[in-house]
Formats: sequence, C-alpha cells, structure tokens
Amino acid sequence: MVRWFGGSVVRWLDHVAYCVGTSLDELRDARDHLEGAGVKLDPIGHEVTKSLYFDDPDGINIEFYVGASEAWKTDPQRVAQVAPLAL
Amino acid sequence: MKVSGQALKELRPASFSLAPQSHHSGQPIPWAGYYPLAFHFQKSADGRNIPKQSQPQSVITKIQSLGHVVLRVTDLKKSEAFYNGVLGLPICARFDEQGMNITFFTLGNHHDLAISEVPEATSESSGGSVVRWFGGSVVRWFGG
Repeated sequence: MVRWFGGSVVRWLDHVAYCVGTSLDELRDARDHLEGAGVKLDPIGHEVTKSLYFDDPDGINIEFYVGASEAWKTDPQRVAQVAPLAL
Repeated sequence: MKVSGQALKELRPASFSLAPQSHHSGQPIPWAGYYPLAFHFQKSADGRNIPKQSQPQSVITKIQSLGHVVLRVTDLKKSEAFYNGVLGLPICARFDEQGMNITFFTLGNHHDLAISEVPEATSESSGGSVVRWFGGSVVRWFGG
C-alpha cells in the first residue's frame, strides 16, 4: 500500500479533521472509544488543538481534535505548531 | 389514541432511565436524548432495559463539527493562486520548514482548509523525510 506522507492512501488527500470537543477529557473519551474498537492511534499535540490521528478502513487518515488554545486568534501562524502528546 | 405524558411515564419499566450515563464518568450524557431511545437500550434476558452492547461506545464521543481538510497539491503557488485568488479563501498562515510547505486558509476557524505541497513521486519509500518519529508517534509537521 502506497502511503503519501505516511498518511492517507489517497494521493490528493492528506487528512480530514473532526472537532470532538474542547477538553482533554473529551479527547480521552475518544481515545478510549477508538482503542476499544481496535483503532490504532497517533496522539499529536498541536498548540491550538490536541489531536488523535488514525486511519479509516481504506487507509484514509482522520484527525479527531479538541480545541486547546485561542492563541491563533491573535497570531494565526501559531496553527503550525506540533509536539508529542501524552494523554 | 393520545397518551398523556403521565400515562407514558407509568408505562415505563421501573429500571428505565431517560438519561443514559457515560460508561467512563458515570455522568449523564446530555445529548444522548437527541437519538431515539431504541438506539440505546435492549431487553435483557430478564426483561430489563439495558444499554445496547453495540451502542455504548458510540454515545461517548460526539463529533461536533467538520474541522478541516488538508489536501495535497503538486504546485503550492499555483494552488494558492487558485484557492485564494480564484475561489477567494483567505490565507491565515504559511508553514515552510522541515521540508514541508503548507498554506492554511480560514473561514473563521484556526484553519478550515490547508494545502500541502507533495512532489508527484512521493511515496512511502521516498517520502520518509517528511515523517518524523517522535516519542514513538509519527509527528506530522502541520497544524491541527
């Protein structure tokens, strides 16, 4: 299976993101839910969001995120931050 | 036949609950009532209403909105000119580091669309330079 950027199998699509809340607890609920369904997760901490990345059955990459910071409202460039995330 | 609310209440089994609870926190799930109750309950062997085994996980996490889509494009400048110049999507941020070249667009959120430049030939074997292994996780160098 060819994976572009190590993510989605679709060449022109990187990922589709869904908002699932505004608190880390909601992201932990999502983690428990997905892991319970056997989905392998990559947790990533962006500054403006905390996120879980995972694949759908076709290998299309999906992001579940909760809002984590309003910093982007005064500095839009802050959207491009990334760090490890421990839930 | 019209049945009053009081009559309906009396028809419910004693174990019936209108407020399904989170299996994690034990707290009521406020939005669970948006769905037909038939989705949440099934009859146990002794006739009690119990949460459906196939449903509990799906009521824990609720997707609130579509957040954003990140597309891969072969020529960032050309695509930026199209999405910004032709379609009129406002650009809110750019990221051009670590071999990644991304433009973010906003319709009010921190970003609603992003385009990431990917060479035509990028694949699992040749695209390793843009995938970082960080604490065991694949770290993607673009915003959330």
